[in-house]
Amino acid sequence: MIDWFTDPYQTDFMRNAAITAILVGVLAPTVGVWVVLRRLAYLGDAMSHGTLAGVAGAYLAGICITVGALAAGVVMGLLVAGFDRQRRLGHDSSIGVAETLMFSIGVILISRSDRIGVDLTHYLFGQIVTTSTDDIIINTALTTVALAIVAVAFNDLRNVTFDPGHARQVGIPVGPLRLVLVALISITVVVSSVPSDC
Amino acid sequence: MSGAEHRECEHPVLRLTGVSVTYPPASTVLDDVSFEVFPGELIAVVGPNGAGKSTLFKAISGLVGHEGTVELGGVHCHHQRDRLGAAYIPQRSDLDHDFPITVGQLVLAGRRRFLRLCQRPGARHHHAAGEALERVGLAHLARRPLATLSGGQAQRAFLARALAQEAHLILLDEALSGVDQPRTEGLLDLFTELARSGTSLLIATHDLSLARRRFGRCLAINRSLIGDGAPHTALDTDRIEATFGTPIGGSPR
Repeated sequence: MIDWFTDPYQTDFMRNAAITAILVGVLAPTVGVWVVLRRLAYLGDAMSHGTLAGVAGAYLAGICITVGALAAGVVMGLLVAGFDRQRRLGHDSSIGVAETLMFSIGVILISRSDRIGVDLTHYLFGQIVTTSTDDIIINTALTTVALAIVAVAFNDLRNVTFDPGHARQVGIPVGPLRLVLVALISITVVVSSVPSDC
Repeated sequence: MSGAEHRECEHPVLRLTGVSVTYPPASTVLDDVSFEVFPGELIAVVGPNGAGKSTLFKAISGLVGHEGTVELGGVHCHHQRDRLGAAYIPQRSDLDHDFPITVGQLVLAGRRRFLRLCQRPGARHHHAAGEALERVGLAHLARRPLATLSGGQAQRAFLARALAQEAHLILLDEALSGVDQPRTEGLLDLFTELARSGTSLLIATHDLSLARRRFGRCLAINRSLIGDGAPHTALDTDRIEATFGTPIGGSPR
């Protein structure tokens, strides 16, 4: 009767795709709430492009692409924070500059290298039915870590987001928490778009 | 009681010495401000827009860098942790009042100073937050989202957060803006009651007549400290003119 529903999941790639969809379905809104409340929506979008530099760099260096993408996400977060501190650029402009910088580095690395034969745009936008069992293991681990961080830091994240001045006054580590949020966004981008390919 | 009467017997809650704040590249917002605040004082900080009232509060709270010294409870504030006894309540427009947080959760945030990293507030802290809400008359609204509160109720909720924080000094920025007359009087009664119990309150306001009517001490500020004392001296015609740039109904000289 419901074979039409279960049949597709006889294959590995569809099972993996379903598990990935569930992981992203849980992780993206959990992190996305903070992104929207802190008005960082553009940062999430920019980070998904900026990770191209990390993906290309890791591919060329022969290291795990997930690690490269995560590192690129954190570097982008630091760049944006650095530009913000200069106070010369508006916040969105800081994100725009960091995004184009990181994306260009990725494009240059890809176009200058003969070794990259595969289409790296798949790494950029993701392709859910190509998710391997290794990807599932890494993505489950990353999702668990991200959910645990949100659960533990929930109250502080809420207080910092609502009233950063008061948060600093009562001793919440505001700067490190901003980095934690950048790391969470980076993890979400990686889980939702980058195959591990270690 | 004025600052001068206190000086004989008590240590100040707050002592500012030569505090200056300069925003880059070179705009001096506060210039060489010095004054003392004693326990239980209710003080109006009066000045026009852009006079540096918010900056003064932020400098005391450690939220902007400054020259000069800030002492809280006799302790020279080198680190942020030295300022835990001061609570700054920003003006309404600085915060997103539609943020999804309940009144109870807001007040509980004040207890964070007594918690370690990642520690959840226990029964003792929930009890203290409940007591703070009771003192400001909002115990029945603990579960309500902040967004559903009126301006006056929201100010009470923030005051409860400061009480839960066990702050000795509360700095309220434009606390009475957008609050209607009866509720303004109710809030002022609450300020007076808190001051009687030993908490010191600094309230930034534009409202000169209110400052004269309800406050024992006023600080007139426009970049520097122009007047400090009882309303009839701190807000006399000369000082009002110096503070606001126009002669607008100062007390007789």
